[in-house]
This record gives sequence, structure tokens and C-alpha cells, in this order.
Amino acid sequence: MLTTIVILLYICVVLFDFLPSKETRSTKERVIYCILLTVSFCVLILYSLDIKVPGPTEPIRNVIETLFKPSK
Amino acid sequence: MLRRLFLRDKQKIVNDKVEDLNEELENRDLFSSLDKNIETISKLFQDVDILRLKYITNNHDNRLNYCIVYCDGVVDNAIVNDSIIKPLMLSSVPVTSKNPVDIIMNQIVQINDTEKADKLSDIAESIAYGDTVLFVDGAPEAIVFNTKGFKTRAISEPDSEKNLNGPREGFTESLMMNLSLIRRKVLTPELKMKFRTLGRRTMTRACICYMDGIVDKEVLAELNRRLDKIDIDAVLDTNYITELIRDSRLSPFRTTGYTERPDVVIGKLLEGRIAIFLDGTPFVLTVPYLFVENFQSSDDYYLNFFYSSFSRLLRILGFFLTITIPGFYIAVVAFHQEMMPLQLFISIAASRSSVPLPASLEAFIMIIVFDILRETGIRMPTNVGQALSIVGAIVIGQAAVEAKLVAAPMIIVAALTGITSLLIPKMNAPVIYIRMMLLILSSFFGFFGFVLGVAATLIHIINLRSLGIPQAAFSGKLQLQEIKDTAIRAPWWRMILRPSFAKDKVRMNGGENDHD
Amino acid sequence: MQKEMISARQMFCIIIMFIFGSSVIMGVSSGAAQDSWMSLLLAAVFTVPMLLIYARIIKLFPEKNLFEIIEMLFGKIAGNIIIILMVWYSLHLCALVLRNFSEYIQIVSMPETPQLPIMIAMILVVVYMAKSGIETMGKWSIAMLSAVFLVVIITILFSLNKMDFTNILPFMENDFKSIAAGAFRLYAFPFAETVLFLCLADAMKKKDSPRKLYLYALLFSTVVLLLVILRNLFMMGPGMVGASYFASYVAVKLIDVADFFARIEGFISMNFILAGIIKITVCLMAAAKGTARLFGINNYRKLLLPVSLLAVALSAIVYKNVMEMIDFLRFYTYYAVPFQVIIPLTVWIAAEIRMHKRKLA
Repeated sequence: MLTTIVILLYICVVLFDFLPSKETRSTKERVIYCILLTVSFCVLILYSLDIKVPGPTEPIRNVIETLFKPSK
Repeated sequence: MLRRLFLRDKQKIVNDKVEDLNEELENRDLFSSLDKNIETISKLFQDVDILRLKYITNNHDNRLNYCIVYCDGVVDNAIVNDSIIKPLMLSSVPVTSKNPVDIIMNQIVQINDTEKADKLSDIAESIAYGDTVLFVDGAPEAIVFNTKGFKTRAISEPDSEKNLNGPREGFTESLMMNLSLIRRKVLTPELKMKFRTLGRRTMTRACICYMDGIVDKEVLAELNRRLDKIDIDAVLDTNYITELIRDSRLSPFRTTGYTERPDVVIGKLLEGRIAIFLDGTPFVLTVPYLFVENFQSSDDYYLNFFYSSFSRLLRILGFFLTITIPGFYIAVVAFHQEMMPLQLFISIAASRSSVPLPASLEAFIMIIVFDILRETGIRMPTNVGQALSIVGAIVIGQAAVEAKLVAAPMIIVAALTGITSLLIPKMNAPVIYIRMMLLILSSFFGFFGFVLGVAATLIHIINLRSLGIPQAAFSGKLQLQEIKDTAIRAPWWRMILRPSFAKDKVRMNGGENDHD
Repeated sequence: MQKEMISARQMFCIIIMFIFGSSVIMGVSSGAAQDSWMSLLLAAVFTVPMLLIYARIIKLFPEKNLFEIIEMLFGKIAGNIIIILMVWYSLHLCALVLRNFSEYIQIVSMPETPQLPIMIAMILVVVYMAKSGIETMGKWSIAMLSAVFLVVIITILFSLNKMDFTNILPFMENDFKSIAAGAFRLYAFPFAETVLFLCLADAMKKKDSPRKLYLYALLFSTVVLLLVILRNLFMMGPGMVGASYFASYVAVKLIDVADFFARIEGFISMNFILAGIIKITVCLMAAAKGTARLFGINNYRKLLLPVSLLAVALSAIVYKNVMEMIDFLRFYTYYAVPFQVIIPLTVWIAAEIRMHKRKLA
């Protein structure tokens, strides 16, 4: 269910935002756009399939805990 | 995208055809011989059976042969007979072959509006519009006389904008008559009127009017730029122009004002706006358009300002209510039942318990039914049609409640929505879509969706531009100047300045010092 | 592309809505229990020097945003590293707020709806706002700030009959250390997050004084947040305030006026949504501007959608559940220091040195 929503969303984004501006964007912008889109797409698909993706919280917690001892 | 390519080819074919036709007409010159010219005209207007040709020969000089061409029904026969045929037949003024056209124009024919023409396209246009064209044997030019005599509707009060006080004149379909109505109201030469033609096939006349010292020249230039870009084969109504000069193509909100009354047009011209008249329609456009104009009506200025301020606030409230009531109701009833006071909750729950449909579907259906009934009311011939349809809707609603198809509170909600939408007739287009969108968002996401929808609507309204000028300017300054003509209507001795897009800001000189 | 400019008043409203952001709902509780309001005041005092530094940076480089300033001061390579750090911070903050928000909506109104559609709905509105430009955001904030403020005042008025004014006693029961710790936490979230406005500073006109702007905004928002936290404390007492995830929500639940206005807590979600939209939009715009600068694209609007989807993806993976979210706050306080304090300080010192050198030259 969630996966369908994610796929639909990305199709809409590509259709309505990426394709119409083919003339007005340079190649570099389109490449960056595609890269960012692919990264977020992969993460969201994995999330919707309930596969655990490592987040930035764990490393931050570890670093802060070793450096300081934060109070409650 | 593929579809766009397809249509572009088709449009190109049409454009090419029309261009060929026009070019043909443009490139053809007139001949000196009368017979050849008449032959050309007859061939051009072949199958146009209302075309009439009348050959005339002068009484005194048999060598002077003329032929007049006109379309029967659009010309004033009296003028053609008395002012053209009679002088041409009876005149004894010698017409030399050196400059026959000038002599005829200046000395023989007794008409006030004459022009020389040598392009076939102009001649064809004039004949179709009601002018008479005179061809002279031996001259490569023709003369066009203004003999327009077609019948138009009499000046009457417009049905769509009725007034309690104030003038009851309304525009008609004739461009000249409309222009005369506003010419009489401004007796200074500051009121400028520039003609142009729109539409490749119809060549409709349009007129741009503005007050020279008040209008912003940038806005005028922008309007002319956009009108130049219009490339369509027919412009039948000012709505065509509205849609073709839009800023944001997909917004349901208006970007140009329209009106049928001369006093409204003059009022707007005096605030720095520009009016666009079109031949064949009584509706006149005014640009640029501000969002608050949706809530203004000309009545406000002719009635007591306390009453007008109240009506205006009522209209703004009406706009807000008609958009939010269905969405809010669904959000509360379907998602946040705890927000209702206990008694209300019990009665709503009781009436909803026997209804088969879920609340959001019910709301959707009721609003659509109500809109259907209201729409049929508009098409009914009598004035009572609208009121009748609303009453009919409520009666049907009552019957539905008794048949336990719909819950009673839903009828009240739908009726309230419909009635508040009548407060702001200018906004019936955007209101429908926004209401639906809020209803759908509420059905999916509850109050959260509702608030998101309202936020998005506000963003959209702020983004609206009319001819490059933002329609809703929340400058945040709570000065009296900003709300004098928006939320309330301040009395005239207070309205010293014009809206900010006008060039000449001062309307009155220190008016408040004259009264106390 | 025409440069977008907004007036001082619009910026003022944006900054206030930003500071309200999540705090007007999540409450401003801290470990200091009934002395939280003192932590708030202390935090506001803490913020003043940093705000002066931010204002000074804007004053030294009028009509330039932070990324341009960094590039000017530190050159390409070191500048890019710092820009990457700031982009990461704004992206992470965007994801955190988005997650805050969808957790709140899910817990409060729609427990059965998965969070992803809520996040997507929110981010679509945010992208619409960001694409419309900062002027639209300014005008919108002016309109909506009054609404938010009105709702806060109404809830305070309605809750007067349930307030127990002895709840903030005993005064100063907690030692100064915990008050200071609470103040530090409040400083990091929400006050010092205004560092992101440095990234949007190219919309401010040269003649507006950023210092007055920041300070007035701080004053106004502190007053309102103080009212909020006092209301929460009076209504619920320090224990409940510390224990609940969304203190204001629980407080408004208790409102009961004449049996008619009861259980209106759904209504204050409106506050959170409106303020949250502004906060997420500001973070998104900062992230998009930074990314565009990094890759040398001059119109950041084209990158708004992919960056926003990146933020959604990040917010989906950043916490496992709501308890982790609340717990992260105490780490966030330290984690944000490099971005909120160290980087601006460095920029400021470098800017002052450069100004000094230029004056000598």
C-alpha cells in the first residue's frame, strides 16, 4: 500500500516537474535532479517495504554520549 | 506532449489557410477600370447574397460612371439614398479624371465620415461592417462611406448587475454606443480611446480606454504587448480576451474585472485601470484586477457607507463560509467528534445513525445535487428561477431526510453553503473548486487536511497576479488607507488617495478639512 | 531571475512563526519542572549575543546569503565543506520537524493512518510555498501570524477558569544547574535555529536593520512562548508538563467553558500546522539554496522538489518511534552547537578580520 503511494508520487513528480521543463534546464541541473530523486526514491522504497535503513540518529547519539554526558 | 505536437500542426494548417486568404486580399490592388473592380468584388463576395451593387451615372455628365457596393440590411438605406445616390446623380460639379476621388469625397457626396481605401482587405471588411464603398471608373482608389444602420438592442438596465440606487444604464452590443455612454461621463480629453482589431477571421473591433494622467504607462504597455500576442481566429466575447491575457493559466480566480455598467467602468478608469470594450458584447473588461474587487459592487458607492461597509464584510464572510463549511463539518463529524458540544453531538449522531452513506460521501453528493439544482435555476427564463431552485433543493433535501437517505444536518450544511455562495456572484467559479478540494482533503485527513487546504488556498490567492501586479497585497500595514475601500467602504470625504498602482495618487485635495 | 525582496515587517513575521514552529505545541518543557519558565527567560537571554552576531554578519554583507558569504571568506574548497555542513544541518532539521509534525498528527488525530501520506501532504504544501518565493511566504506569514496569535490568546482566555496559579510554586526549588541545563536546551531548540535565516538573508533590504528585526522578533516570541508555558504549567502542573510529549495539546484538552467549548484540542493543531509550514519551508529553502550553490546552479527553485523528497526520506528513517524522537532532544542540544554557534562564530570572526584588513588597506 505504502509502496504504491511512493511509486505514484514519484511518477507524478517526474511527469509534472521534470519533463515539462526539459527546455529550460541545463544538463547539469537535470543530472543533479535525477541523482537526488533516485537517492530519496531508494530510501523511501526500502522504508515502505519495512526494511531497516540506517539513520543518522545512532551515530550522533554515540558521538554525543562519548563526548559529553548529557543529563536527562 | 505528443498531443501538443499534433494540435500544433493542425493549428498551423488553419493559420496558413487564413494567412493565405488575407494575403490574397492584401496583395490585390484595385484596377482603374470600374468593371474589373466590380468583377473582383463580385467574385470575392460570391454566394453572399445580401451584397448589392448599384450602378449610377451622373445626370449632367454621362461619362461619370460609379458603382456603389453595400450589404443590404446593415446599411441605413436613407443615408445611402439621400446622401450618396442623390448627390452623385444630380451633382453638376465637374469631376476631372486627374483626381476624381478627392472631388467626389470633398464636394459631391454629403456624408460626414469618409475615407479613401485602396486595399482589398480593408474594403471587404468595411462592406461587411455596414459601410458603403464607391468605385469610380478611372480611379484606382475607392471611397468608403460610413452608412452603418444596423439595429441594436436599446439601452436598458443590465440583468446581471442590478442596482438599488444609482444609474440604470447598461452597455449594449454596439461598440460605438458603448463608447458614447462613457464618453458622455468624462468631459475632459484625458479619456483616451484606442481602437484595435482582434481575431484573424472575425476582425472584431476592440477599444482600449484609459485616463491619460492616472494610468500607469507600464501596465498599459504590458496590456498592449499581451493583446498583440493574441493569435486566435475569432474573438466573440471579452471572456476570450480574459483567458488569453491571463497571468496564471490554471487558476480558477478571475484576473480581469467585467461589468455591464458605464458608471462602474468610469469609476474603475478613474482609479487607474484600463477598460477593454469589444464589439458585439455588452461586457467590458477592466484590468488590472485586485482580489478585493471580487467583494465590491457598484451599489456600495451609491448607498450609505455604514450599510455598504456592513454588506462588504458580509460578503467576505460569505466567501469564507461557503468555502469552509462543508470541509469543516466533515472534519468535525468524521474525525473530531469530541469538538462538538455534547448536545449537538448527540443530535447529530442520532440523525446520522439511520443513514447508509459515510459522512464525506454524503456531503459530496448533497453539494453536487445542490449545484445541479442551482445551475438549472440559472437557465430558467424568469428571474424567480434562482430562488425557486434553492427552495426546490431544500424541499428535495427534506424529502431525502424523511426517506432516511441523507442526514438532516447535511441538508442544513448544503443549504448554508449554497446560500452564502450567492453573496458573491463574481466568485462562483473558484468557490466550487476550492470547496471541493477542501471537502476532499477533509475526508482524507480530517482537520489537518482542512487546515492544509486553507493554507494552500491562501498561498494561491497571494500568488495571483493580474497583468503583473499582485492581486492581494498583504503589506501588513494596518493603516486606515489600506482598508478604506476593501473591508469596509469609507465615506467619500475620506477617500483621498487612489489605489497604489495608479500613477496620480491624489484623488482629492485635503477633503477632510472641508467637513467636520 | 529577479531578486526577491521582502519588507522588514514580513521578515519579522516569518521569524516569529519560525520560532513558534514546533515549540507552540511541543511545549517548552525541560528538566526544571515548575521553573521551566525561568529556563525560557534565561534561554532568551542566552540567545541575545548569538543574535547580535547573526545580525552583524548580515550587516557586514548586505543582501547576501550565508552561502555566498562563506564562499567569499573561505574560498572554494574550505567554503564548500562548510556549506555542506550547513546544508546537512538544514536538511536534518527539516526532516526532524517534519517527523515531529507527522508523529503529532498521527498520535493526536489519526492513529491508523501511516505517517508517510501525512508527511507527503505536508511537504507538498511546503514545496508550493517555497516555489512561490519568499515574498509569498512573507505575506502569508503576516496573514497567518494573526491567526496563530489569536488562537493562543483564545486558549489562554478559555483556560483561565481551570488554572491553578500555585502550580509554579515552590519557586526555585530546583538548583540553578538544572535551570541552566533547561535553558541551554531551550536555546538550541528553538531560538538558535534562527541561524538558518542567515541563509535567507539575501531577501532583506539593505536599509532594514537586522539587529532590530532579530531582537524584536525574539522579544515577541519569548513573550508568547512564556504565556504558553505558563498556561501549561498553571493548567497541568509541572509533573504532567514534564511527562507529556505534547504539553500544549494536553493542556488544551482540559479546557471546558460553559460545557460548550470543550475538547477543542483539535483546533490547536491548526497552530502547529501553520507554524510548522513556515519552519519546514525555511529549512527547505536553506537546504535548497545551499545545494544549488554547491553544484553551481543559480536558480534554487528547480531543486526544491528533489531536496524536499530527500527530506521526507530522511524523516522516515531518522527515528524508530516517538519516544526516540523525544529522547533525541537532549542529544540535539549538543549536536546543534557546531552549526548554531561554531560556524557562525567562525564566519563572524573571519568577516571582522577581513573588514579590519580592508580598513587598514
